[in-house]
Amino acid sequence: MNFDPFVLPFLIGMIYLLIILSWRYFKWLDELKVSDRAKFIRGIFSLNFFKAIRDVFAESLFHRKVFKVNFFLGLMHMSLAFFWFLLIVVGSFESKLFSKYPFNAPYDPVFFRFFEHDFQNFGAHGWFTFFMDFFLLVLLIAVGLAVFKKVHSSFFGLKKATRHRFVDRLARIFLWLIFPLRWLAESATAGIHHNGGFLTQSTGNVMASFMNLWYFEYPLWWLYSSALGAFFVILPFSRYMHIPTEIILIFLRRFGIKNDKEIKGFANFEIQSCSSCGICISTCQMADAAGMHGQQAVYYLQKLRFKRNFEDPVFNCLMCGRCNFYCPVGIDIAHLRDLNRQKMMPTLKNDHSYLDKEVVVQVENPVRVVYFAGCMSHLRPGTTNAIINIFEKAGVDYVFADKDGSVCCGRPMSILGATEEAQGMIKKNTEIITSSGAKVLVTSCPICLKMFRENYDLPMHVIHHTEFLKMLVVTKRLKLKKTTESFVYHDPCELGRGLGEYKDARELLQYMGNPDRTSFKKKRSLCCGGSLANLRIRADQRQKITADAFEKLTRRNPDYLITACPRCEQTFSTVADRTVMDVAELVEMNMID
Amino acid sequence: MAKNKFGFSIHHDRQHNLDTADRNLYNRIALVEPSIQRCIFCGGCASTCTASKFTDLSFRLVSLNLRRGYIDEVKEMVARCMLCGKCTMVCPRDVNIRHLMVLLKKEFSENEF
Repeated sequence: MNFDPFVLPFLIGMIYLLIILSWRYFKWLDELKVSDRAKFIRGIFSLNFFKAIRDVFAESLFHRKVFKVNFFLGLMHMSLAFFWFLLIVVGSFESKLFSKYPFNAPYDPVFFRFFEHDFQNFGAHGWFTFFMDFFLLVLLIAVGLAVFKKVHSSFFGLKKATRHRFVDRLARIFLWLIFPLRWLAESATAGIHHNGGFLTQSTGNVMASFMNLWYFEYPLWWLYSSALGAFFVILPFSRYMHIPTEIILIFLRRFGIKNDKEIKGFANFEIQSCSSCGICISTCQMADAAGMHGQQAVYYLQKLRFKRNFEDPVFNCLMCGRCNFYCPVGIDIAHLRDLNRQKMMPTLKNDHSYLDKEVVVQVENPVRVVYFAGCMSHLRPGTTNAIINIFEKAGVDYVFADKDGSVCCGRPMSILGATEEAQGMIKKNTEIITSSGAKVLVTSCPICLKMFRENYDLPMHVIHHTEFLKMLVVTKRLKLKKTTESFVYHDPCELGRGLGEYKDARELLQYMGNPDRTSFKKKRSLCCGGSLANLRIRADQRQKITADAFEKLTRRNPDYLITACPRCEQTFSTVADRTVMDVAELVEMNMID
Repeated sequence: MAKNKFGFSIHHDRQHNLDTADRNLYNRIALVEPSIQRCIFCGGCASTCTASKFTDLSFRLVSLNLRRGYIDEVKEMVARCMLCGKCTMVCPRDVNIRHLMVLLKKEFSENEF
């Protein structure tokens, strides 16, 4: 058995890492709900297990989603992850084949070149040394790319690199040291014993030509082992915890385990899976347009990991959900923020007793449709009037539930974390809406729509007016003509990323013309800046986001900006140099008898 | 009486002694959300308020009473707010009213006045 004292830093670091990881993972798995734990056990013996392995290759090793953001960023991550993986796997095969024994010491493959110099009886030696050197070369290039990214992050599609904490930077130094040190150590041995491949042998020969390698070989292997050991020791306390954790997260996700109502168990896996890549920084409009830093998803998760004060990133967020979409690990950041909002918001002493008094819709005959405009729509009478006109024209049997002022749906309250306090409003609105006896609830406000769908228990279909108007057109109760004006469509956050309703508004617009192409559509759509979720953002910062979003959307110079949310409409109209209107208003303009 | 239709209501005359007014709460709130200092008491917030259709709620009065030190009246009014945020959208002076309402609600929930 091969042994030398220099393997100890590596060996101790690895054993320590395994103990810490198994302790933590056991604790977090233990925190899962009983039903989730059952899912976990069942998942291991199901087809999902193999699907998860495929996902691990696609995401953890190939970094498919990072490639989608930027080719070079993906290349860097893929080379580091996949080729390190290959180095480990092929290296252990090599050492096991060489020793002809499947169970060798864990450090044998790592320090193989130091221990073994005589390959007379090992036929595959040439192949293995070539591939091992090739993998090492790719890893060295990847480290070079990573260093280059540090100085020139815009080349990798990142407008701003992440500010890392001290322990993260320290861990990164060890990680960056590992591969050059391995190269030097293997080269030194190759220079003496001539057992290297195309890379290590040539550098070894160069080194041997001007220095006495007998003095350097042994210290270099010590350094290499110490760098590995130090990286393993620091890994559980740094962002590199994502390397092992993301794999478990992928399995848990495949087994159908979802985020719970508390930040524990599954949430711990999500928080530790963040690699602090910083993709969320350049996609966050608060950073991009308003120049605000420190609230982005990466910093929020960083503060959660280090248990620092995370109040600002929790509440200073538009909750538009763009980081959720762009996150290559697929962490549900909005949900993690929402959980902490609920935890940190004190019970507000509200007095909504005045709601009990009156407002119940008066209906003589039973109607089919109840229309709920919502508070925000009352700020845009153009929209509500358009909808009423369309209803009259199409002969819809409807009642306007909140004609004389609406009761708030409760989402503005609950989006701040005060979910319990919204119950009074939910009760009152349920009473108002159900008293109409309608079968369909049409609302103009996506904020209300999300609340009605997710937090109300209404005995009717709840749809947005775009869907209803589309149905009117499809059933030929409403006829539309093509418009001569050009327009661009903006997906509101709550309707789009929030509820996944992209289709109906687009199909409705198709009857009147083709919307202008824009790269900020569907899940890539922008927040108008008027989001109800953020209390702390200043008005001038909001305005910057709005102006930036408006400029990006109207690059093709359309006549109108069309949206489906009264809040977006109102926000955009404050900076607009052209008409901003709701889909309903455009429909009203293009109705024919 | 036309004013009533726009969310205003008529209050009786009374004298305010601003020298003895308790401005502690106002100062504390203004430290966190300085935009309250920009308020010009135009009443736009009150006229658009969702809750003011059903009850007396006017941020204009909250803002005034906060400066005058009438904490009880502020407390009563703030509790009625539904936080819909329409007032913030119409404010001509960009006062972050919704944040102020949450701050006040938090103050009254955590501390006894």
